[in-house]
Amino acid sequence: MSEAPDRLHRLQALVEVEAPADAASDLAGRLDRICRASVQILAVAGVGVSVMDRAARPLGTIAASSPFVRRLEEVQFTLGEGPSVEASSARSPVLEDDLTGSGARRWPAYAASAEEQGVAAVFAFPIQIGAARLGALVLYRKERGPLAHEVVLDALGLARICLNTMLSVPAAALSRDADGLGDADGLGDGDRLGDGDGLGLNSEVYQAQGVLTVQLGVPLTEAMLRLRARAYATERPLDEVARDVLAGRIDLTRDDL
Amino acid sequence: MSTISSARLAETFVQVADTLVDDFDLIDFLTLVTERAVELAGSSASGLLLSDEHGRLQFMAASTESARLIELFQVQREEGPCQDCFRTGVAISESALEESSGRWPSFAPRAVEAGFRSVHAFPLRHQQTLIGALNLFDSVPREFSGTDANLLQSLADVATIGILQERAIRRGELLTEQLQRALNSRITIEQAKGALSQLHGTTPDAAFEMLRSYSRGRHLRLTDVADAVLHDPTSHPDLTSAQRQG
Repeated sequence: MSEAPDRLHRLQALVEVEAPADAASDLAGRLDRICRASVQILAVAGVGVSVMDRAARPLGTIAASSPFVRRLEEVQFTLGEGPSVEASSARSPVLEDDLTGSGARRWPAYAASAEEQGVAAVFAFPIQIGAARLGALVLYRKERGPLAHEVVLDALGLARICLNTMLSVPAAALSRDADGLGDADGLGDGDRLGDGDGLGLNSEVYQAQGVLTVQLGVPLTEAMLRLRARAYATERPLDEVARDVLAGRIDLTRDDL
Repeated sequence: MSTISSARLAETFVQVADTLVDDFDLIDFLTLVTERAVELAGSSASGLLLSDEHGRLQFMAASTESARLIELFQVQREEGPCQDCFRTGVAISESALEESSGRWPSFAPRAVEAGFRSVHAFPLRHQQTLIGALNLFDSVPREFSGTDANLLQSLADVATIGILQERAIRRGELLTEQLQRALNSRITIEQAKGALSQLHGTTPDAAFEMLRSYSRGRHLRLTDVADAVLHDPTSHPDLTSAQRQG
């Protein structure tokens, strides 16, 4: 019954085993740590997190476990093709287990670059929340072949931890087209999975997010950050604050982040 | 004996199958399934829950607001006929909700309070994997005949086909990914309901109806319209420009 939180808590604990980055408080540092932990957890050659703007156009690679991951992500952005780009625009995981075969037909130029780096398979998972696309978690392997089902589930869980981490930083860091993602100050342990982290399928939380995006004239991501900031500041569960927003009982227009 | 007319049954399946031919929208399709289930069985309300990648049921569609609330309640409490159906893989039938608080201590009183007296749940199954459940609610004590139960199970099977067929079968796609995308579509719809309700000063449910009839009238996918509206309200001015309130 409670398998989902168990998996997320287990994965979160494994991320915390990994040494914090030098700049542990900034978003890039925290995502970097998730990438390094993911290499161990998923037993893959490399892991990266690329961020996208609101139109699912890539903005850059914010964290990577090794330099080759960053290079291959950048190749995608230059070419405008590849798994991370596709996962983000299609809002669906992209699993390519043979970059020399089917993958070469799918993305000829990208697959050639991947082969040069000794990569044989790539798997990209969108970091998203409804219509809000934040980026993609991408895994690289040196061997061909599909991911085991359990590994897919762990990868989905790690993508969710990335999402939660990205949603725990101040709005300024994720505002508009996510400029300045790298120099955000963290909210301490804000990326821990607390109660009511709002990432279950709670209709009211998402409806309130939609209300706020119109009311405040801000992107969906920032609307969620504002909602979470209010819940955090008033020490109330997120769904309760969401219900207040829907009923027009509270006004977030003057909240500063 | 069957209470479901064969003419109505044929009509329902043709209509549902018709939706599946095009590049259909999953949320719209599942909402249609719940509405048709209600019409077919002459029930009061219907709802559909789908498993997420962790095997937990999540709300996907309902024929009415009261069914939506009771489905959300089942999700939240992890208790009720859909949960039992999903756990056991067999259809669940309860024709006397008022006497079933032993079976479902939280759900039964809540369902009675919402005006329901009986409930049925049919599993959504793909090969050996259970992926969700379809619920039917009635305001009177009711038991379905074996024939009717089989027909409703067929409708649940059509819902399963729809979920698995959405956007054809992409390369390398697994059930897990399909379910995940379906659930993310649901989140997008909820966000759009919120945004449109704010624009028009209406309830999220009225906003859903606006979104749905707009998309249908223009042969657009519900989720695509929801997504576009959330990123750029000017993309569908007829839907987003605030109506002057009288």
